[in-house]
Amino acid sequence: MARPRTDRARAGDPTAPGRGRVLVCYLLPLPVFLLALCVGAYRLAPAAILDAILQRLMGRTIFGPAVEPGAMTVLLDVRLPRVLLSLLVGASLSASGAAFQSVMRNPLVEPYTLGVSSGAALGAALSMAFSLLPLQLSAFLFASASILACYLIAGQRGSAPILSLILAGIIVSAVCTAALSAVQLVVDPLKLQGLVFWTMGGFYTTTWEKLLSALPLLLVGLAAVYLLRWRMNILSLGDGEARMLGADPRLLRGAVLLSATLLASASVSVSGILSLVGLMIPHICRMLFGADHRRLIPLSMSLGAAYLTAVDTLARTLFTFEIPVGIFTTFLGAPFFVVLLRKARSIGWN
Amino acid sequence: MELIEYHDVTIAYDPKRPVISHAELRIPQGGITALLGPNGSGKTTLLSVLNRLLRPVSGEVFVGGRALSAISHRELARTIATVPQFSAPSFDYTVEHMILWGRAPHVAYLPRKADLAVVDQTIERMGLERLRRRPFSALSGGEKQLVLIARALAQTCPVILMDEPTTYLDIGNQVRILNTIREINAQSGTTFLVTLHEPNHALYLADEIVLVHHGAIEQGAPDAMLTPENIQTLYGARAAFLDLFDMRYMAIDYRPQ
Repeated sequence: MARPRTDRARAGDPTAPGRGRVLVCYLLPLPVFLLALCVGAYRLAPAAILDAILQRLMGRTIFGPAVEPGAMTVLLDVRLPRVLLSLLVGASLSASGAAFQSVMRNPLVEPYTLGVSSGAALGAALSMAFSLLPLQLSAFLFASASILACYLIAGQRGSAPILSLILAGIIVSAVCTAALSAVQLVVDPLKLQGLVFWTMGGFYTTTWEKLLSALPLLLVGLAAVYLLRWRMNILSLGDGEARMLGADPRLLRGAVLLSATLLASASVSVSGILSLVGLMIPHICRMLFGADHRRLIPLSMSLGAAYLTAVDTLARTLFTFEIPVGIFTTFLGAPFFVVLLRKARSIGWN
Repeated sequence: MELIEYHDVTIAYDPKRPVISHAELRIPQGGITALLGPNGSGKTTLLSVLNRLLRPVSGEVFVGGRALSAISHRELARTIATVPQFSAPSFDYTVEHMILWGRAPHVAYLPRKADLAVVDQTIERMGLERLRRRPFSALSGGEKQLVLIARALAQTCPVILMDEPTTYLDIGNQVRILNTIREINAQSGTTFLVTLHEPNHALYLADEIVLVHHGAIEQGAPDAMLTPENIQTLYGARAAFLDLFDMRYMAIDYRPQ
């Protein structure tokens, strides 16, 4: 029997009426970007933003008088790198989530399912407490190591069953969290405060240096996931069918996992823990535009960039003090996850 | 040279207990070959080396005169298409998507116009236009089987493997699938290798029969292979053959013996 809720847009056909929606989704980051630059404790008109950029680059303005130095600093050295980073991290977490979901053949996993967040938090804590490695590098290494550990624990002769992986994720997270508590016990209370704030996730410490340090990793990861998008369709059918269709599932899975891990680890190392972005955005895209990864991946990147930047802008403008954006993404994502879980159960998905 | 040849092939999950031992098999080009045997006899195992879900412990399989082990995954998938018994994608792909995935072995980066044209032709040929944009997961068992056959057709391979295509279908869908196989074979000369549980389906379809029993195999023409004696040996059931509907038809005596 046919399900009546089928509509043409779900098919991912370019002629389907979803076309306008697709366009809106691709263009959405642009107005969000501009708005995010304008608003804040120091409010700026869109023309002043262009003027400030021109003044920095070419030494003159077009729309108005010279921009005052205070405004220049706020806009170009504080707000611009922050907004750019939130766009990038939003795109990365969403793309990473969609990639993990295709590999694990499970729409309910996200980058953090495999212990990335607690691994990164432990890495950050160790760096703050003992200063062996720079914070960002340490967070990156521990986040990647967590995913690797999950694979080693769950792996059997080169394949890792999904349920074992998820359970391995729980174990790795628990161990990292325990180790984190141990570090917190011995660490200087002043540093402890910084650590707690870091784990809440946010972009308030973004500088150009920080942005540029993560940029190459994020761009490589985004490009790799984008290039692999057609093959994720084949991979998501499972190893047997992927092989029947001429793919080498182990090689392909390795490539997708590596790219997705790179994105998740690099993101968490610059933004702290922002949970549920990688779950929510790909799912919304699937509902709106269909499951075909050729479309899902770029649309998730675009919507994720717009979403995280919008939420970050809210986080810094809603109240007189800044709220860590990780709190927002979790509060917005959690009800979504609950609805999804109930729905998944009712359609018999397992 | 036959299209597919098994030379002294032994297949085992556990090296001490081979599922198939020293199999010799010759599959002629352009025919329909049916594999029959009791549950667990190794029919599916015999086919799994052909699409490389399993590797033989010893012996070699040749496809078009070339050793299987020397053919790449991609090239193999352009020669042999497989229709699995089930497919349960985790995501809500449409019928059109599922058929497009069949183009995978021909796609380098993204499917092109030519690939989409093959999908259109396949949908038309299989009469699936009505289901085109339906989610695959919402289809009935028979419709799913038709879509999986369409996917194999879109793969445009000279050989199609099918694992028990009729086992879980009602009689109407069984008739539909059997005739679809015959039509494709007659129109395009596609070689079919089909595992079946119902000897009558083999009698209707096959030019060649392979019986699989306790890891040993026997090959021959349908009339020679499907006899009351062989049915008794394979299944322990008493069978009678009669001429019905322009074919040899097998009936089973269900009474306890």
